[in-house]
Amino acid sequence: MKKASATLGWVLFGIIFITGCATGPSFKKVEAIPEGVGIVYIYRPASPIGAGASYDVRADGISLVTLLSGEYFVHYAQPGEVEFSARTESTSAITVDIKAGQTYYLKCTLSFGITVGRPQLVLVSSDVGEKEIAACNLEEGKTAKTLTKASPEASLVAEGPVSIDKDILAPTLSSTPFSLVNGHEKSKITIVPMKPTITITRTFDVDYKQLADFIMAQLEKELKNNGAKIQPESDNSFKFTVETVELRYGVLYSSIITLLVKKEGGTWSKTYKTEDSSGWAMQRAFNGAAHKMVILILKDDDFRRLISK
Amino acid sequence: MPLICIGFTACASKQEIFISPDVPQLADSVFQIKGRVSYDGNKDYLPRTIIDQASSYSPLTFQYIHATSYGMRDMPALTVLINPLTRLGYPLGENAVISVGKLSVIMGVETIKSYSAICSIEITRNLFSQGSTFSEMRKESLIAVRDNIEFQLYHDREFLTNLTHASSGE
Repeated sequence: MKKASATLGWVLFGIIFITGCATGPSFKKVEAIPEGVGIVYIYRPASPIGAGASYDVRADGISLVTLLSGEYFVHYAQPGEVEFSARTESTSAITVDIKAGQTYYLKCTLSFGITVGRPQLVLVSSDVGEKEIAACNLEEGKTAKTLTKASPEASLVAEGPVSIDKDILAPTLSSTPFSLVNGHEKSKITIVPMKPTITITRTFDVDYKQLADFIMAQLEKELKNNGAKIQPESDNSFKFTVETVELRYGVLYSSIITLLVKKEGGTWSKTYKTEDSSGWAMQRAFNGAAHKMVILILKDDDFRRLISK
Repeated sequence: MPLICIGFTACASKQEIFISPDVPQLADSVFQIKGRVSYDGNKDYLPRTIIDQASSYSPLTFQYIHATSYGMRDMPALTVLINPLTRLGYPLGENAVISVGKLSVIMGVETIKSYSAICSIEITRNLFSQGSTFSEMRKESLIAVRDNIEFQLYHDREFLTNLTHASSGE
């Protein structure tokens, strides 16, 4: 009986006193929310129950942060539905409909489980969130990446300008007025997993609208320089939609972009596909594929014939 | 055998769903109405009765909004630790979701009529079953809200059809 009591005592001691250390800076509210995103404060109030245990919090399946008891993390999220989840022996998942400019508080706790504590994620009101997060410290160092433009290391954003050889287009390209239209109504980050051909598995986020905008802007600049009459709005319009982005890693980083160009009225459409590789970084391969897309469309006889009519 | 049944019943998480208003549900309730749709959320939750006519002029606008709130209650940790019934499936806590949806029918700038519905779902967690996640509960509740509003629109189809005719000058 005495032995059993001693064991129980040690178990309770372990539960209560073996705690993780939240050592980062104290809570500080983000003063200005960046344009076009919402802020999600992800926090885990300090509690002796399961304090030594940690778990990853994910957004749409991508690891955001590993939280210890008493820590918080700031996630800048694109508008739209985002599913936050965490898993140990069971999964907790909660979908939040993010609106730009809004602040959300996602409270993470740990409840009892059979073999290990179970994560519980719940969205709480600002009143509750502000009060509870005040006692938390910023998570430092162990974190994964956020999936927003605020974290360029995880985002692939096409960058220019595209270098075009002078002989690609005729010096003067007369055309009837036409317009270039983005087929993506809103910016929405798309999570693209990198397909491993050896061992590495990573994910990147790509904004399809931004990519289509980039390609259209480069095309517009080059076509205008060569005499094309491009207008913001026209009955004779071409809609650009990014269909897929594939990312691969083998010996080199590779990026493949598939883009659909559709003429208004459905009289013509064509799918273009480009691929580029880099030994240095995925961003370079991605840029290369985007630049090649601009050149491919410029060189395409079908597209040139349509805009030259 | 009854003991085994009781044991299994105890292990399963319990889910309760409540939806309001209480609208008679009909198997054959196909009715659609066209107009401009003002909604920027997930299309799965938009009542299927309304068809977006964004490309052509329509004086009727359907504005749909919905919201979801979450609640979670855990048993006190000490109770869970010392209560032997925990190992037999005694509740560890409860999760609840409440979703509301409101469809406003707007003619010009005037709201002609609104239809709203509310759905709440509660589950009880225990050591052996977590039940549905908040994401699953949200989806289920928003679809229940959508369906309820669809039935309300169906029951009000005469009024809505007249409204469409009146707005198009027929």
